Amino acid sequence: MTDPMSDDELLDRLRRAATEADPPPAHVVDAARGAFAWASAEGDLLDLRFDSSVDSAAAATRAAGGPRVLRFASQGCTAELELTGEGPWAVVGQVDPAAQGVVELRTSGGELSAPLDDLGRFTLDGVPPGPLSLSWSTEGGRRLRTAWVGL
Amino acid sequence: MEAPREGAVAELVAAAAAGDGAAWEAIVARYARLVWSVARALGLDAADAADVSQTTWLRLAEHLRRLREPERVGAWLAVTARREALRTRQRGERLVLDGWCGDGPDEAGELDAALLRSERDAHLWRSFSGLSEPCQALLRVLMSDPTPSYVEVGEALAMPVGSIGPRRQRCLQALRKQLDDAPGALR
Repeated sequence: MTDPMSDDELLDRLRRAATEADPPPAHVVDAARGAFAWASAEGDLLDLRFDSSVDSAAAATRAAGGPRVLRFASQGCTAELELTGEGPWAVVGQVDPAAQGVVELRTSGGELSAPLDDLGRFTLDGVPPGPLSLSWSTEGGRRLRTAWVGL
Repeated sequence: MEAPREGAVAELVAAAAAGDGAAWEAIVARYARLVWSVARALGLDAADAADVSQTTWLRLAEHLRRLREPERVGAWLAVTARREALRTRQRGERLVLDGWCGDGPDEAGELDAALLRSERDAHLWRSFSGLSEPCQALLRVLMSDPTPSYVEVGEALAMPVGSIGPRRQRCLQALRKQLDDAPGALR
């Protein structure tokens, strides 16, 4: 059977079908809108440098049931997180150089915070699955935050 | 939907970076389906695609004031969604083989097809689900609404822009063959 439709027409038909069969769910679009709340976040950004779950050594760690390790760094500052569980996660972390005060953990569900000890360590329980980002201040008052990372 | 001028997109980014929520809404309205389609094109199930989408938009929010080429924000979103989707796939733990291999002739395609009101569209969707993985991925991004630029498609699929046109033609040809071979051909 010969199909008289042009490529553009066929693609338009597919576009309409996709719009009906597999659109982004409303909650996904709402989350995209809501992300704007973070556009005004202050502070220098630390990029994700290591994620044990995608690193080559990941398989071994995962097979052993070990924690997932995330490391962020920029300009001499680092933050390292170890996550255990499957979400909600239990998080143990450390920022370097050590800072005082609290570390704020931002998630899609809101903010959690935990005190930093003398070595810049902290623990957080009940961290929900989904993207997260950390924020804290250095001794000198410099505000730092990590890139968002999906869990 | 009419594609805005590149300058208009850059203006939206500048306005959003300056705190204009309506400009952000306009950017989301334009690119939410592209981001979603990239995650789906890379084989993620709906739950993982939702996470990838959310992380991608959070990344854009934190980068708004630092985008070097704001007129290319669509391409930036496409490549960010691609990277996040690949990370999710590498992680592997929650990857569902959503009609990409295994499981015979595509249960996901059947399910999605059931949502389509017209039998003609359902047949089209089933035929699409029978295409090769690379063709499904390419068409999945190309059928995003509004139609993405080839630059955006190229970023989404790590594909040279010059190869998109010929591949598009081949994949649509393969789709026509599927449509003709299956019962209930498209008219």
